[in-house]
Amino acid sequence: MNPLARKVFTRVGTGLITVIFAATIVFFLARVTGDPTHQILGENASQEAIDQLRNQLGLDQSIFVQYAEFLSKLAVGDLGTSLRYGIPNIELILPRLGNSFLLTAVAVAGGSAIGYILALLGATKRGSLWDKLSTSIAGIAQSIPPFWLGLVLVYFFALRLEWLPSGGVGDWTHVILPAVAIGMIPLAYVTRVGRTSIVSVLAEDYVLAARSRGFSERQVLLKHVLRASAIPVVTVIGLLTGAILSSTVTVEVVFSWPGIGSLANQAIQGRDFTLLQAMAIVTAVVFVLINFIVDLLYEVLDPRIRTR
Amino acid sequence: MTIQTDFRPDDEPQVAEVPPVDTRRKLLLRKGSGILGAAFFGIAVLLCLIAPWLPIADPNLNDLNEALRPPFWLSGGDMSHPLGTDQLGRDMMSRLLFGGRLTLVMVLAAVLLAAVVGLLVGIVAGYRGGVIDTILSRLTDAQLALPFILLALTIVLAVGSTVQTMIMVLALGSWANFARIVRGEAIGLRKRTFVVALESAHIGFFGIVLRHIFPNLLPLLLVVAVLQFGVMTLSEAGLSFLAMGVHPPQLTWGTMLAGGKDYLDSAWWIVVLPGLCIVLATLSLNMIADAARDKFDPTIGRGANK
Amino acid sequence: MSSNNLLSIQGLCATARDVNGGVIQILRDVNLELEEGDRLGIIGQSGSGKTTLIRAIVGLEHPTIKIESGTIKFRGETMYSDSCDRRAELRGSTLGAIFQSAIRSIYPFRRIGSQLREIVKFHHPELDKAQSLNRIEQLLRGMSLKDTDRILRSYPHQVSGGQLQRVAIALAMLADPDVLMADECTSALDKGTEADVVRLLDRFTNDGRSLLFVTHDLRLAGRVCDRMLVLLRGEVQDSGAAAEILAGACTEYTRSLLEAMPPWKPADGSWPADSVVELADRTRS
Repeated sequence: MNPLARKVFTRVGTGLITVIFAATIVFFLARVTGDPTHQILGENASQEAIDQLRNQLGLDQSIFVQYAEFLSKLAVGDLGTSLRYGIPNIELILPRLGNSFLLTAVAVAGGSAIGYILALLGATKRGSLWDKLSTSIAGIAQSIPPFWLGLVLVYFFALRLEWLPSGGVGDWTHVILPAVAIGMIPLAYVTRVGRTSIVSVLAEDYVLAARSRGFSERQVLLKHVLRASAIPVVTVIGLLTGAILSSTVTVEVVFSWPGIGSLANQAIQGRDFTLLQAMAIVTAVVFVLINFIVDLLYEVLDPRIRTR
Repeated sequence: MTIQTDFRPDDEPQVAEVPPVDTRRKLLLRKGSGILGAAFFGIAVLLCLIAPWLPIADPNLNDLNEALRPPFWLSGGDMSHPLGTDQLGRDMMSRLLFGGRLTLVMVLAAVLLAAVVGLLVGIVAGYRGGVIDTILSRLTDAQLALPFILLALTIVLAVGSTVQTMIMVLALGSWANFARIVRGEAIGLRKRTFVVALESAHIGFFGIVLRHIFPNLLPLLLVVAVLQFGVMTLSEAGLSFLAMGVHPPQLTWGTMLAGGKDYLDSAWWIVVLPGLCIVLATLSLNMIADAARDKFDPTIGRGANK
Repeated sequence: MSSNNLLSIQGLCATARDVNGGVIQILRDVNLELEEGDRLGIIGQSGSGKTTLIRAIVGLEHPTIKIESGTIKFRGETMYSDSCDRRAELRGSTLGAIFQSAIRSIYPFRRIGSQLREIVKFHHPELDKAQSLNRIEQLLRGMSLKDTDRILRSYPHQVSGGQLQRVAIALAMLADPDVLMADECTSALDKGTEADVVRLLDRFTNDGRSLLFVTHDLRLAGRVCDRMLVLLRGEVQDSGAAAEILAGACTEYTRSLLEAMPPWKPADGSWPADSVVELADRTRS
């Protein structure tokens, strides 16, 4: 088997294992930690209702049987049916995935870009006011709950100033505030990690050599430093996927954005735990895919990894 | 999967590379902000702790006549409710202090729990290695593949939300961070203290762990713990905001946010004030962690700790 | 002061601060004269300030180092003084640099061919693609680099050490500099490759180009250079014809260098140093 095929194969294999593990965790967590029927039906439910629900959910079977059923359904891509809406979970999730993707893509792109600029400022003007500013902004951005920032932004820009809409979808103006709220996370980490990375690249011999060959500082930054400092930044963005996905749950609620985050919220409020379970699996898959992409990016960015 | 690699983004270059005077100045600044952070957080904790004995209103006292009063510096507000009241007329300042109490206590318990679990898993995985390591690492990875909130919500849905479950849920979202870092350190330490381990073979695994490995890990653990404290405060806020937090009459900063979101237009302080507390608390913790990290070990992954 | 002088440095003083805030003199009142076609060796041990000296000529001294005073003139024009700093203009087209480690001084993320073409495009924009490629290949072949096609297509890490050092020289040469500055460029090489590089430097300086050859190896400098400048702790100890200095017409310090066996250097490169900068340079290797 040629090396590239082998690499893809192992990645896919590992990814699948991770998804299955994750699904298993969710599966057991929901069942083993307590009886979900009480949560769904409430405190005063009749025994009949409880039994019926348990039967419906398959909870009256042994846990191993349940797990086997779960896995076999998973293998064919059946993520179960929503308790609340009665339609296959996957039909609920897929359309919304696109919306969330749009929002997070804008947030990550914007946050990373600004973060990188701040990192550049901090690294090239070390010790100066810019540096302190960039580090402070990163520190504050790390400490703000994204949904709270969303609320504050809504208050100022939508309610008081009426510049931007306070929620829902529509034109590009609707994306701005929620994207800013979510974008704080990548901004904070890209600034920090980027600054450190750029500083270490600036100290490299090839930067000195490039300068000695006559390139201006700006050319050196654009041609050499940018790409050389990218890898740790890409890594950290990959690591942030979980945090970013988490934040979509609350931020989408604040802005009534029809993505998987608000769907998750609906699932919770409606005690629709099959939907929740399905979402957890989809999320794990997304996670694996993103890491896949990050790995690919490594290969593109650093030829030393590529041609070994 | 690559996410499990012990990747530590290169932190500050070796000291000799950095302009020496700047290094001193920057360290001082870092230390200064660390002290500032510690002072601020310390005062906040203190105030929250002594809240029951302070001459402030009952945080759960409804008084609809006084509902939605603004803080004292705005028109309509006065010093009887210095930070205003919420939609049920409850005093904000008092709620902030009592809310802080529960928030901080819950998060502290969660951090301790996560640290202990993460420590154990990390040491066993890192020190023992082999199959155990592989299994534990896969487990850690798989958990990291699930965004915390989904996991947390699933559990809360199944179990309900009491203070105890909240603590466990928060810890669940965090132990993997400890485990991953501890494992990395343990692997490194295992190589170094292996000779000592051979010599003191009669002391056995636990002796080695207690005497050699743990003390080396302590500073690192503390830094991660402080950082995770901040992370968990934010997580708790998120969970509570989605009405998955503790139930009244217990209150945390997060649950205050959930209640106030509908009154954003008319009474912004209900949302802004608890949020500010969260931000300031987390910020001061991060400042402490930064200063501590600079002091102990500048190579701890800065930014890979989520 | 002969008007033939290509490069003229007068009274250069540079300082740095150590970790405690105290001031270290990196260069003390250094004078240097370089004529056309000259081959000047700058000799010193670690911490002597030799690297700082040549980096200071093009304004690339370590950011911690401060030039206190001095003038630098090129072809009679003032490039650096109290009132002006045009040293950046000298980089590349006037003074080309070769460093100690080729693998570290070449950008690892781009193919070698692409980097070479970039230099040609930058310094000779009038050449078209075919002409620049021609020039590159001629140069590489002239350096006895075989398999130029493969090398041009490769990334730096795919090429052997000796070949890479030649590429590094090519990167400097393509800008057509009047002066080549070689900073310990053979220290990391085996004797065979060192001889090759020395031969190359020889050839490049035969057609009127000048050479500043920085090294700690007095004998090597003797083979390569016509004139020498010996530095100790930033101060010039000896300056003059290589042959004379090597014959013994020199200060005590230089004589001790001549007489001593090559000083023992610990394998990991650690060496007590006075200068913060040299320490930084070495801890990086």
